[in-house]
Amino acid sequence: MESKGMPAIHVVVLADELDRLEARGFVAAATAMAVSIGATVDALIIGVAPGEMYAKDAVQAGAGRVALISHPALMVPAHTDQLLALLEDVLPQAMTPAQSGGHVSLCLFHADAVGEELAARLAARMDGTALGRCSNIEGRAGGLRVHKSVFGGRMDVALATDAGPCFAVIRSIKAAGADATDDSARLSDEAVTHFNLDDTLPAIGHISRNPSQQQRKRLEGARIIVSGGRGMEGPDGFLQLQQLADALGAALGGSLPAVDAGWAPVSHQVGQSGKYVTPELYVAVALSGTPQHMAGIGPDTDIVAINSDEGAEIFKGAKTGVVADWKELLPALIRRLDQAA
Amino acid sequence: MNDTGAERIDTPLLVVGGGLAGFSAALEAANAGVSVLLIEKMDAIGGSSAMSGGCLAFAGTDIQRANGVEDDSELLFRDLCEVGQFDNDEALVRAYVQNQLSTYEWLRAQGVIFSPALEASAGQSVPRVHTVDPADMVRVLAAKCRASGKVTVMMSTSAERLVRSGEGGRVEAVVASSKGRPIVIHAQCVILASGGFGRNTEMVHRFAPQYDNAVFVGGEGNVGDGLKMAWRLGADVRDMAYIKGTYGKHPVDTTNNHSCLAVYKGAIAVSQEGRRFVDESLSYKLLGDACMQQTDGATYQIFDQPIFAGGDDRVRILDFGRRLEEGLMYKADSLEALAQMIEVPFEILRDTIATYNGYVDAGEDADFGRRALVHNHGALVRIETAPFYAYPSTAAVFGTYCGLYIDADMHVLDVFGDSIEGLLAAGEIVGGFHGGAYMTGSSLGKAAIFGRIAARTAANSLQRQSQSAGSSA
Amino acid sequence: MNIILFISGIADSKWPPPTLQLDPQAAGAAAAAPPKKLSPFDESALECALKIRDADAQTRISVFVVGAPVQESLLRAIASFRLDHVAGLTVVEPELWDARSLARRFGDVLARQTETIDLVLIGREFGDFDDGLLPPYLAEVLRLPFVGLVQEVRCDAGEWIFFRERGDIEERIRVRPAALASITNDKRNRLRFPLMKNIAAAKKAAFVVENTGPGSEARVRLLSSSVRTVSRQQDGCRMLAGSIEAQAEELSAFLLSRVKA
Ligand SMILES: Cc1cc2nc3c(=O)[nH]c(=O)nc-3n(C[C@H](O)[C@H](O)[C@H](O)COP(=O)(O)OP(=O)(O)OC[C@H]3O[C@@H](n4cnc5c(N)ncnc54)[C@H](O)[C@@H]3O)c2cc1C
Ligand SMILES: Cc1cc2nc3c(=O)[nH]c(=O)nc-3n(C[C@H](O)[C@H](O)[C@H](O)COP(=O)(O)OP(=O)(O)OC[C@H]3O[C@@H](n4cnc5c(N)ncnc54)[C@H](O)[C@@H]3O)c2cc1C
Repeated sequence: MESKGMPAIHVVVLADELDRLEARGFVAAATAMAVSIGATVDALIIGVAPGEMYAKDAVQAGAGRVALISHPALMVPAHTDQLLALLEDVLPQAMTPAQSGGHVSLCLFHADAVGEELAARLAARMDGTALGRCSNIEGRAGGLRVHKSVFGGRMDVALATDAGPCFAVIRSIKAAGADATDDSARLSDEAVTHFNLDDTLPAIGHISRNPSQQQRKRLEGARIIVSGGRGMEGPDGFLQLQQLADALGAALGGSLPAVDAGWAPVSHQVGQSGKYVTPELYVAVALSGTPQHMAGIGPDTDIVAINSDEGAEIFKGAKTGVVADWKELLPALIRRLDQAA
Repeated sequence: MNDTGAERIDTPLLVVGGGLAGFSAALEAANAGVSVLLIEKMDAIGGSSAMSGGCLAFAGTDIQRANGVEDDSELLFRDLCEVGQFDNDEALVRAYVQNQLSTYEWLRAQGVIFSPALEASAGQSVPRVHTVDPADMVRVLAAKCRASGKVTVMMSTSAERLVRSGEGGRVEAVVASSKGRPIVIHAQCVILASGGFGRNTEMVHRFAPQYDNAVFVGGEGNVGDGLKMAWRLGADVRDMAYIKGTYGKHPVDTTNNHSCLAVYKGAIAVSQEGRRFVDESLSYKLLGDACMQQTDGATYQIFDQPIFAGGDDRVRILDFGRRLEEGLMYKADSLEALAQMIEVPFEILRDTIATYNGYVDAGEDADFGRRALVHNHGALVRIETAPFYAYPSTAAVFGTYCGLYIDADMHVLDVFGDSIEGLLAAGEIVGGFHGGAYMTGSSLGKAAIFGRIAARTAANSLQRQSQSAGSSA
Repeated sequence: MNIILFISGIADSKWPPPTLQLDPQAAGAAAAAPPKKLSPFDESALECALKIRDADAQTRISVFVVGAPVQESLLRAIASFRLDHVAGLTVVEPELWDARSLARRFGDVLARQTETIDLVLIGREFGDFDDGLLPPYLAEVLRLPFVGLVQEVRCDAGEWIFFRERGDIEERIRVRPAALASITNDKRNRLRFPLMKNIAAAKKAAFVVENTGPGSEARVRLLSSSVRTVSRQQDGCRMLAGSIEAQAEELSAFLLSRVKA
């Protein structure tokens, strides 16, 4: 590569965890940050057998080099101990000061539970700095300046560090021309290196996995999400929301209190401590719209709010609002949608 | 504008406070053709009324008939006097009793919806708790006021002083502050309906220091403004010694304001040491007093499955199922496990229950003389069928139920028994009606009934004033 | 079994967020800090520990309450669950930004414990500044196996079983002590209410607050902070008016147009 002297940041893409669109958006987000740092992007794509497509996507999204790493024994969904062992073989050599052109070295993971855990544990194993979930990262006199939000999304801060190696998690952005990757394009051999691994992978304890009773439509990638809050008052309210979601072909989410109450499963919590979702439309029912909840909804999403309190915060973030009691509105709404179907 | 720079407003009738008493008065006056200005201190209407349990005590209603309950004004009168330990003003009790059935019908006619469920609670010889959605009740009355075209409501407007025409003269104006702006409201008649002073800890302490450790729940604006304004004019007060907490409030939870009264379905109340301490059929006000005498002011209501099944989720003070779901109630398969959960000595609790069950069989409670589930209603039941339940309970001061000395027309009287011309009061701000203890539902009942009486007194007085003005002109 | 919890609490969101200190040497700002309460994840972690104790009364629970400074009201609130040991741990504010320095502080504290530790529990996000990186970092520093986003913990034949959901899969992970788990909110671990007698006892309790100082080991420093006023900006919300039926009509037409789009 001719980017001599240009430092590289590392981006770890877990191909079995992210779909292609998310993966592309993730590399694109990393590339944007790399530009402001003055670095190039090295993408490490890891999976049981990650398709060549992921590599092409990464290059199109701005990665300078791609390592396509496959290991048939990897568990899906990911088992972090396995990934950790694998990454620990690769990253320390890649992230030396020499490799980073004298800059603080940086490795990025996707902002989700697996990414957060890997970032932190690798940081610890390499005595590095864990920067957390960053909305932006810039270069700053050989070190880094990072931006993130704290106090449940109520405050923005800028932090500085000069001590690497650094680990952070970031969110995907909507990559321009998201589905425009030319699948037939050829990748240069120089850009992509293949590693087919098969060494034994460690595991803590004994894991048993069962599909849960109810199969639900995933929030990730959903075009429409229907979501309920504490004002739904009980499981019966959520049954009605499920009907609404079914009528719209939507996925069903909930706020933290709704999950606490057991009306919605943990993996369907939206917000600061739940899923970050970017549907086209988000139908928020009996949700007040606290910063912690809104932190989980992408900026391009249109929100439709149904709330009985006309002063509810949610209307400030919504594009369309209905002041109504859901107990009256939902039956009338579902009836109409069912008739239209 | 007057010389103080305060804006001047004129109204025939001023009502201070936007709770049940205030809106009942305003609507009744409007229906009599009187123009009313109602001012409310907070930025929302409702006061304690909107957050209450929504239980109203009426006698002889269609709901009672539908449930086969025989009740009438006379029985209600007797119960009210009895629960008040005959230390209440008979004239006020009469005023309540004579206007209660018509007020029930009136509320329904305004569009207030009563639940078909009926329950017996504190001080009631027969089931007489009529339940509404309390916030909705206030909203319905407020909407009727608006629709009448006769009532103006000013929010975030707080009355501060009453102004008399000279020493001992009529009340002719109220100095107030509206969204921080000073105003003076000139009125021919003023009705104080500003509620009690439960949210004024210092003032409560002066009359009832034994409740310093209790929980206080009530409208945020209820700090005794109206009482102080009338005091300044020499108004007398009654029942101050009878401020009482209500038994059955969860001591720690702040989301569910309401008392839970499993005792009235057969539970016993025990201290943290596992011992009974009171006749559980008494008014929950007296239970509140007894509870505050126990260690940490904290106790448990203990009951079994059949008693639990006797609850009713539609009635706030008996919604056992809802509370279990909210994580407020303890449930265990054995008494021993229950005792472990609430950290009460098992042997003592077991003996307490065994002794109590013996009393139930014998038909006599040798310790505290309990004879009924509540007041004179309901036969005692054994506590014996698993699972067992415990509800942590302290006393909460939900209101002060004492205050201005009024006559049966709601005129405020001064310390020498003379009426303070132009000043009426209704609702929780008045004393003399409850006396020594309190019947469930009589406080909301009092707010609606007395509010309407005050309005009629005001309307008559306004009519006389205009007649005399007409004749002298 | 011997369980250790780390709890930081969060600033009560009824108050505006506190002013942060850019200069760690400057004193005074801490005094104006809003009161702290337990975060939903602190509560879940605590309830998990209490459930383990319900099943085995021999269980010992020790809690370290971490803060800059530690608020006494938080210590009392936690102590009112009748725990075996509740102590404060004061750190300097810059360390709250840096999982590495916090984790190492905690490691030092635990190294001084004389009893064996069987389980370390911590909420999935630690306080107002962490995004979920502190718990796994700490596990590495303590050299303990890590299980993240756990919803329920049980002890079975001397081993821990951690339950969690990942998407549509339910996982059961069996680990021999010791281990570290981060806990997320779930119906199963909604924090119970404390008993009045224990609240009364906690009111009288005295707490040891340890100072980890002197000096900061943080490798991260704060450059600037700004309070966010609006979480989302939009050009105003179109409100659907009319009766319920009219609202339902307009909303269903709108939703259908978006479904097809
Ligand atoms: C560290 C931390 C992390 C957190 N993470 C998250 C997170 O990831 N996600 C999250 O959601 N929260 C999170 N929270 C919690 C957050 O602070 C709020 O408590 C939560 O978002 C409120 O949820 P809600 O809107 O469902 O409930 P509420 O705020 O109680 O709102 C209920 C709404 O329902 C309306 N309503 C009631 N009845 C009706 C009816 N009949 N018809 C119509 N409307 C009705 C009410 O007007 C009200 O607006 C977090 C908090 C902390 C401290
Ligand atoms: C949790 C709870 C449950 C209860 N349950 C029951 C029950 O089931 N049955 C029952 O009979 N009783 C119950 N009570 C008691 C009952 O609610 C009250 O006694 C009753 O509502 C009083 O009505 P009110 O109109 O006099 O006062 P409120 O409803 O309190 O209204 C007074 C209003 O005056 C306003 N105000 C105060 N000062 C000023 C000022 N200076 N200027 C202007 N406005 C002012 C206040 O803001 C308030 O809005 C309960 C009380 C509580 C707190």
